Amino acid sequence: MNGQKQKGMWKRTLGLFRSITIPWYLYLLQVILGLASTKVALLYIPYMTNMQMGNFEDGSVIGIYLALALLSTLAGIVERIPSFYAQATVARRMQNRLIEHALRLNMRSLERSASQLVSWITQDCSYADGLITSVVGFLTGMAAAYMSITSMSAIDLSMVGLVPVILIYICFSTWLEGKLMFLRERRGRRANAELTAYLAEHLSFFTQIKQLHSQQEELQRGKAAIRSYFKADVYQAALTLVDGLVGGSLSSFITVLVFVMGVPLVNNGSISLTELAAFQNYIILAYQSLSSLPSLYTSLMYYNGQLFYISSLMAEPEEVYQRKQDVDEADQDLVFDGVSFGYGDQPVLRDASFTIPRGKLTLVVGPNGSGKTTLFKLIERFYTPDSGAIYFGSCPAEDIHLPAWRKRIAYVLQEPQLFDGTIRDNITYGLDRPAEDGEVAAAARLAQAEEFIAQLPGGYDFEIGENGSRLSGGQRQRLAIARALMLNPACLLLDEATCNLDLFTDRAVTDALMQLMQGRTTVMISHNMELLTRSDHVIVLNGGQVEASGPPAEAEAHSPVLQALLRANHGSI
Amino acid sequence: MKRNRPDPDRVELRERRGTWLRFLKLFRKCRLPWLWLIVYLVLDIGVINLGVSETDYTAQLFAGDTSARTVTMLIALILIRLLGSSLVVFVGAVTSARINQNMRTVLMEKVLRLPMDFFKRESPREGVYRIVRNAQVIDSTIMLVLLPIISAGYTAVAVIGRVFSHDWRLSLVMLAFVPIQILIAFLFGRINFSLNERDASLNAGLMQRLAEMVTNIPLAKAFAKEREEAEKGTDLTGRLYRLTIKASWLDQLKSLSESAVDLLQAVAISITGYFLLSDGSINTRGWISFFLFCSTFSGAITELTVYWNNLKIIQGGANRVAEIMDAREEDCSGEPCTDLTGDLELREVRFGYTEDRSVLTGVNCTFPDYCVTALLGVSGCGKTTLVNLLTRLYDPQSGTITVDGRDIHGYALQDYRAQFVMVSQSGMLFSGTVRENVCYGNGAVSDEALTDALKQARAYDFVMALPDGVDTRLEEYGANLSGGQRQRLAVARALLSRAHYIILDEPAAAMDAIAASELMEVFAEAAKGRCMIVIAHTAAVLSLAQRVVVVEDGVVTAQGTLAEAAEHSAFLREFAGRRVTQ
Repeated sequence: MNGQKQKGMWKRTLGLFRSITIPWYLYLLQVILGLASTKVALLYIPYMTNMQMGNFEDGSVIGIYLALALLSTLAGIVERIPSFYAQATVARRMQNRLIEHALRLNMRSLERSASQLVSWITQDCSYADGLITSVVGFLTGMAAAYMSITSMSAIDLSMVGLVPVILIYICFSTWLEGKLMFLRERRGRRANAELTAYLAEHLSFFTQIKQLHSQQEELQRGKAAIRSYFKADVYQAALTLVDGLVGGSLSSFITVLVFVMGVPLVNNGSISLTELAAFQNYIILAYQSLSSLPSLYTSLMYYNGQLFYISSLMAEPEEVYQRKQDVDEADQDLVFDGVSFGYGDQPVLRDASFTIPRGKLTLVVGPNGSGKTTLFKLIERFYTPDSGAIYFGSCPAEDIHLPAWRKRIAYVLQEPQLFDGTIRDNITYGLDRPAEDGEVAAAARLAQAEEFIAQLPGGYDFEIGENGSRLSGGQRQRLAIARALMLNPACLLLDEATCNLDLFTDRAVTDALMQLMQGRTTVMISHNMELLTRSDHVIVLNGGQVEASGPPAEAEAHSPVLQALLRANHGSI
Repeated sequence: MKRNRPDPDRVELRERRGTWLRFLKLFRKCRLPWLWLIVYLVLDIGVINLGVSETDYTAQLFAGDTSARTVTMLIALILIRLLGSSLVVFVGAVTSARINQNMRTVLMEKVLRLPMDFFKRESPREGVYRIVRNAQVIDSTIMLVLLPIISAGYTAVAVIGRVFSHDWRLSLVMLAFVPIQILIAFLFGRINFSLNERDASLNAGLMQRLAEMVTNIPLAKAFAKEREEAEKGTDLTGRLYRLTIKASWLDQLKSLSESAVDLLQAVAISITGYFLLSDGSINTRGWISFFLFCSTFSGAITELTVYWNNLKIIQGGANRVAEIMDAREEDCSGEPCTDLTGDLELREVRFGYTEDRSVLTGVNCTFPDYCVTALLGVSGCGKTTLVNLLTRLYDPQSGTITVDGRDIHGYALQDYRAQFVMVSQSGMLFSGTVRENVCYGNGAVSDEALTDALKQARAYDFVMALPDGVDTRLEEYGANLSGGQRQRLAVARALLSRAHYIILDEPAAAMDAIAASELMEVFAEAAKGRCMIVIAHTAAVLSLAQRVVVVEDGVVTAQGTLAEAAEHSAFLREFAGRRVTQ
């Protein structure tokens, strides 16, 4: 049905395997040791059976039995060593490869997969080994089954006829198990998702529940979610009952069959009781090897499916870092010439042409959703315009080496990204050299962060938690500003970078920034209309189009949106 | 903090002694499905007995009794046991599900009644989520530890009994190995346990750092730090690799130690059997059944030790659950009240979330009825705390809060809180229809009342423009609406609640000026005939408020009309800018 798609998937998966070095020798070792371990187990069985039946003869049986028991234990352990090394090695190489790729990935692909990327790297990478191991396991299982059947046929050929019966049964129960598992997981996942969604969404509003005095209502809803989870549990239990009856019954049935076929043979004298016992022990060993065989197909499909996301990600294009030329030392105007850009078929910027003058303060205003942040991402060259071009002076920005370009721009977001580490680590993140304490303190002072840092336990060594979770929104913003200032950038982009600060701190930070960036290019997105009179240049965006671009007075005269924004602002002040 | 840290060993001892008591108390509180548990145990014991008989018949067969009767009996036993053990699994799963259902319900009821200050170390959001997720700990304790201990113990006893009936000396050999086995399992369990726990937390830490690194890739791009981050990633995966390998080696060591016990046992059994068989004191059947039973027996003993270790792992979770079940609930006694009106007054109110750090240090202020009061101050000055005291989410450490001259703590909590409604920054919307969201917390609401509320909140037009009107489903957190739309729905909800006191918390944060000024008109409409308090740190709300209260460093520095208050507060003069001088 999906033959073409399937083929494409396998091709991608193979491509994924080609992108790393696979430790084949470890897998080879796994096969060899697996076979050796089966061999020892087969040698061990006749002696164990003699022990079980009490045929000690002169006691030499005991010695050999114990020696072989020791050997088979050791073989079982040694057998696993290359397998865990292989698993860890493949996972590690895959992770490294994926991280490297993700870091160089173009921004659009990265944003599309952002929410899952973490679990792909931390979990899915281990599936690569699963795929190889299931093939290796199949080969070893075949060989082991063949070896045990040979040993069995040495006892009595007629009973070896059991083997095909067992194989058919195994196929059936594997199939059934797969079906039941699917049903169970589907129901379980749904119930779990429902409960988790309820808990995550509703109970996370704990304070508000109290404020809206809706405890009773929440209790009813919660009970309903819990009840449906219970029902799913019972449904799963019923399926497990069927699964257990069919799947778990095989070893019982084998025993029954061995007795039904074997006891008459013993009674008519064609085999001895000891041989019957030995046969039973052999067939259990054979069953273990056989049972892994039919699952090869399912596990291949499973792992291939699991690897789908990683292999798709690996197929996404990387950013091209080396371009034609280095960036000019001297600052230049940034010119947008007929730039259009959209996410998928949703246009965000349409035919935008304007100039951001060098060395000046430019304010970007417009209602929410008018394309302001996208504009910044285009300047940062996270995105490439769908049509039109951006120029740095007269040179197309596309021709400038990417790292050099980004290094001269500092970009501060409304919700800054911080990482778990000290205040100092975060402030000095962008620096390529060790920072002096004085520099760090100066940057913090400019960002109005010095005071709150001094009050934190440990000061600059305070650990801020994951994404700065131990700081308030305003503190995080000030830290991000300090980090940007550390770079002493030629160009500064501020995307509502002070919106979580109170009025006073906001003013102080803005004053300090303006002082510092005097003569350098600064672009600000802000709802704060006070800035209008202080900026040199204004760009007004509305619905993805540039409504006005020019000095504040000129822009105000030409732009109804800007006039409306100013009116709304005056109305409230 | 480090100064009076108690000796960890002694704490552990005390905790262990307390654990059993806590478990018992917990079992009483969480309404266990006793009938299911008993059925499960009876079935389980039946299956164990069948297994013992099965082994005995197998031995009889291999000892030479190949009669049709023995073979038939054996086959019947195998098949019945198969059925029985499947049934045990089924009943066990249903019992588990019942325990979980009861436990989750009990915990949820409890959590909803917890006071806010229960969550001191973590945000209530994380705390609540974690608690209800933890409900499974009771099920794990019973179904994965306590009942398996009973059945493993019973297996061991049944097997010993059967072997004893063949020959008492063989049962002695079996018993002799129990202490050694337990000792070794205990030793290895201990070593493994402590290593695993440390490694597990190390592993979790590395995973978390890896996750954070991946999440921050855009940052690395913006700062052109791709190469450094790749190196960091390689370092992290390398450390994860070494940890995995170490854990795998430990596993091997563990299985080696277990095998060593098995081997020692095999040696002892072989030698005993050799002498007893050769001097004729036992027959072949006795020996075969003994040989077959040995593996069952040592399996049961191993299980016992494993479950014992499991118990220790579960203890932590159970302790936490028990702590919650024992926690004080909100006090709901007091005088019932409806339709409270009147001024809200705070006198000398002091409060801090911890003993040593005060947030409010002697607050005096009034929120007059039928009036919009703006609560102003820099971030972190105590505005939100003040409101939390008004709605009795927390109680003041000293001082009084009165409504219409009467202490608010005299009223029944639920009744009192029903007089207040909060419109928060996010609007608190959840996945569900517009109707469900607006009616949330308000009981049954007629269509007319809903329409009226939507119209009054100026939400009617945009709601009607949605694909299914009031029955349109909103996404999680109302993500498919704009900030202004979310706020309007929250206002409609507040209007429906008929609470007299409305509190707005930063209602226009992150909104453009046009949207914010439109919203102010909606709020002004909602404030008619009510008492409204607006928390703000932007000047936009001043158009709405008739009075202001300024909080600075935990005290009220100015209050009154804007002009009155501005005389006393430099902060306010700066904050309000042009407006004061107008």
